[in-house]
Amino acid sequence: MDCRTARLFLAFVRPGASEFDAADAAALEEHLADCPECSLLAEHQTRSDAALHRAMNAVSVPEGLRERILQRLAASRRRRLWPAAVAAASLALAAALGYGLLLPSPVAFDLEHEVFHQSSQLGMEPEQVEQVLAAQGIATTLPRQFHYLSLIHFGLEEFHGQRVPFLLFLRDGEWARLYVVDQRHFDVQALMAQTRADSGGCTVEVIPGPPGTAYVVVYTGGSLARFLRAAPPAT
Amino acid sequence: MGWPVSQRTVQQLVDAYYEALYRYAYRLTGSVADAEDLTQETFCRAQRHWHQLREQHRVRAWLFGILRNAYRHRLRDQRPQRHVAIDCVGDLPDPGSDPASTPVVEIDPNELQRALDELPEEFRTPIILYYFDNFSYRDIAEQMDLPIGTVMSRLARAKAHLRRLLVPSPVLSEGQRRATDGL
Repeated sequence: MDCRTARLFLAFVRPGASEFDAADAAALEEHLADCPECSLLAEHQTRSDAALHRAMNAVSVPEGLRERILQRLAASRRRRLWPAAVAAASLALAAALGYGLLLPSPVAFDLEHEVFHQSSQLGMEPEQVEQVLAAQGIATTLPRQFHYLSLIHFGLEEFHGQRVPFLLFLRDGEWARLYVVDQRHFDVQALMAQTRADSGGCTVEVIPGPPGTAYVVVYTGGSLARFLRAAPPAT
Repeated sequence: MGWPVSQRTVQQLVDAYYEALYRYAYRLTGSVADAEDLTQETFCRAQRHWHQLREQHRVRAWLFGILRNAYRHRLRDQRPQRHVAIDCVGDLPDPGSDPASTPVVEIDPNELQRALDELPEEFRTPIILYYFDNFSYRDIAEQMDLPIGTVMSRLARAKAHLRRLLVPSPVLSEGQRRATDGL
């Protein structure tokens, strides 16, 4: 390699990067070992790159920026949740007052709101799910040991004649339906005594909850482990 | 319409990247207020369009891309700014003093900012990304949606501009000057 080619390479060389052909890199190294002037230039370039790197990153981050970002994100989230909440509340009110009275014509609804309403249930933490249920007048404590990234739906569902809080998890093609039952409507002690039943296709397990409460989990796949926090990454 | 990303994920994202994004925004804009606003806007857009992130391991490049797009939108709304004619900047350092007698000293970050402000955005962005950790030529090319050769050429020119203004250059022998003439 001659000085002209070496200088051309030096304009693009990046310490530690593997973006050049190994043969070109070796030829450059060989030239630098034999040519003091190009070697001096390369060394100067490396030092100036290091100085520019340090200066480029020498920017102080304003105090409290992290908190201000989180506040703005929370405000943005609330602004976007509000229309969906209003739409859902309007539909619930209409249903409560009588479909025939308030909605004489077929219902039309906004697909954007609907998809948002549905998708906003994904990826919630148990505390957030509890808050949403509490806002609907349903006070409940959800289990913390589940992997809530696998939660795809929650709400109230009919279970042995009672409407109870319900979670649906989906992971690796298997599902788990979790019902929260309490002693006001169920014989929790008798349930706890059974703990587990397996049909081959699906399994039912009872997990103790706070006093007077139990979680009945119906799941496929033979093991509940994949739905729990300690579960290995999804394949 | 986007979402769904949990608050915890968003918070982890903020913790991991807000400082780097702020520094990038500051180097792009040269303004504390604009940099802070751009950083906040970046996270809001990321939260809103989370579903568009196809590969989780590329989240850093995705966030930097969002920030750059937001910045370019703002630029369009502003009056044209005066920049150096980059065609006048050579790819190679000017012959100057002897590097042995003028070692590279620390570069004043404020002077660096002034030099960056002189560059058009299409040259400023790659040079900032280049000097941030771990942005390869390929990363920058993907970020800017440009061929890698174009990125390398712009980088060489932008580096030459910064070095000319901020770093004393080594003197070259007559032979070396001849070797580099016309590059």
